This record gives sequence, structure tokens and C-alpha cells, in this order.
Amino acid sequence: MTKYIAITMLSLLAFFANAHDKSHMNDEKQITHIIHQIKYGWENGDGKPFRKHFLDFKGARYFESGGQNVGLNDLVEHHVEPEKDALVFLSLDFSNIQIHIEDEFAWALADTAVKGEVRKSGKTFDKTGFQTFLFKKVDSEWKVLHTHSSARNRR
Amino acid sequence: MKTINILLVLLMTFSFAASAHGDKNKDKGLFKGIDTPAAKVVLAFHQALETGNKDLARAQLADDVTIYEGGRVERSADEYAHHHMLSDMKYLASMKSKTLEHQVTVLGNTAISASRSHTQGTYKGKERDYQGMETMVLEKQNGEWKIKHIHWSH
Repeated sequence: MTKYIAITMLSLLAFFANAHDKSHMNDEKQITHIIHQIKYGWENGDGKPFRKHFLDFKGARYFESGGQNVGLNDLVEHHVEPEKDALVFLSLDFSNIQIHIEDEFAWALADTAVKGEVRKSGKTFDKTGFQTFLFKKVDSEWKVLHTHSSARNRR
Repeated sequence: MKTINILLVLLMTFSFAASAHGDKNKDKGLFKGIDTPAAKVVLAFHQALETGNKDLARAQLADDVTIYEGGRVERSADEYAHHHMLSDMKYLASMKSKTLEHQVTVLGNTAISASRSHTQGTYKGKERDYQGMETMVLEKQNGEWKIKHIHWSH
């Protein structure tokens, strides 16, 4: 009888551990997907992924190399979308993505490489740097709370 | 009597306008959550860097902190303490820095801090005048808040 109880308890433990791992994997998958969507949004000057995956709240701040956008509308309308016209092309790569999950909060770090050409001046840029993303789970979906990117000319 | 009444009305109007302006600034949320224990760790870290207190600065960092600064990365508190902490302290000692806004949000055992500052001064003969951004992630470890991640840019 004790043997059966032990087996049942071990099975339950294995089941819950597996469920926890799966949930963690799903969280990481969802966050990675959002990061890829952000890349798409920046490269195409498309605000839709930002509107879908960012938490629109009063006081939201998005930092980029000494500048900031205040609020989601400001980010989309004054930064993401205008780049479509201002740049001939923009290529943004995130690599070495590290995701840390703590209950309903997550943060992700990534190395970045960004290349582009400014339409008006014809100047090109080629930079490397880092990106910080902060996320919060809202109604079972991860939402971006804050981003911070910084880059300098490739050496 | 009439003059006193007019003065009182004017004073009340001024007081109301001043109060409304104050509330407006408060609503803008430039400073939020800075009385929380997590924020105090951030402020202690800033103060330690500004005053050159290496031990105090090191004590606010988690051992495995990741620090992004000026295109570089440091992946532990010891790495930072042995490399750039001292040069950061020397640099900050010759600068004047003013925090323009600072928001700290606590989410369970994690806290996030985002701030913007204005720095001015001369270092190694070069004049500097810029706006800096700082993002931090803090984690409660054995009842104490520690800085797990810093991202600085300007």
C-alpha cells in the first residue's frame, strides 16, 4: 500500500514539474515571439506589433540612447512609423536573447545589431549594442512595460 | 475692509492655482515609488557612486548583475567593481547630475526602476552636457533588494 502511495505521489510530482516546465517554455516562446514582432515593427515602420504587445499605460517610458518616448502613442507615432519614410532601409537583429521570468514579471536582454540608410542624407549607419525589455503578464498574455536600447558604431 | 477682502480672494486664487500646478506635476508621474525599499537601494547605489564609496556601491549589487554601459557589458558585480566602478566614480565626482524623473514599480519580489537625469561638467578637459537614461531591475534576495540589471545610456 505504501508503495502505491509513493508511486502516486511521485507521478503527481513529475506531472506538476512537467507542467511547470511546459508553462515556463510557453512563456519564453511567447516573449521570444514578441521580440521578433518588435523587430518586424521597427524594420517595417509598422506600429501594429507595438499596439498589440505593449501595455498602454499612463507613464510608460521607452528609452533609446539618451532619448525617450513617453507613452505608447508617442513611441508609435513619433518614432516607429516615421522611420518608414525617413530611412531607405533598417535592419535590426537581436541575438543572445536571455529571458528571466519571475511569476508575472519577466525581463529579457539581447545583443543588438542595427544597420540602415537615411533617405535625406544618404548616410548609412552600422551599430551594435544592447537591448533591455521588461514584461508583465496581463490576462495570461505577456505585455511590454518598458524598453531601453543603446548602440554605438560598430568597431 | 474691501481691500482686505480683495487681498484674501487674490491669495486664495493664487493658493488654488499653485496647488493645481503642483497636482498637475504630480499627475505627470515624474517621481513615483521613490520611497519604497527597492528605490532606496537604487538611491543608495547612486549616492555611493557619487561619493566614491566602493563597498556601499558593491553591496547594492547582486553577484550576478548584468551591466550595460556605453556599448560594453559587465556580467558580475566583481567584474564591475574591478573594472569600471572606479572610473565611473572618478567621472561622477567631476560632474553635476540632476535627476529629472524617476519611477520605481514593485512587482512581487522584483522591482523596476527607470530614471532620466541631466549631467554637466568637465572631465579630462572635455565639457560634457547630456541627458542620461537608466533602467534597473531589482530582485529581493533573502529579504534584501539587490540590483540584478542596469542599463545606462546617453
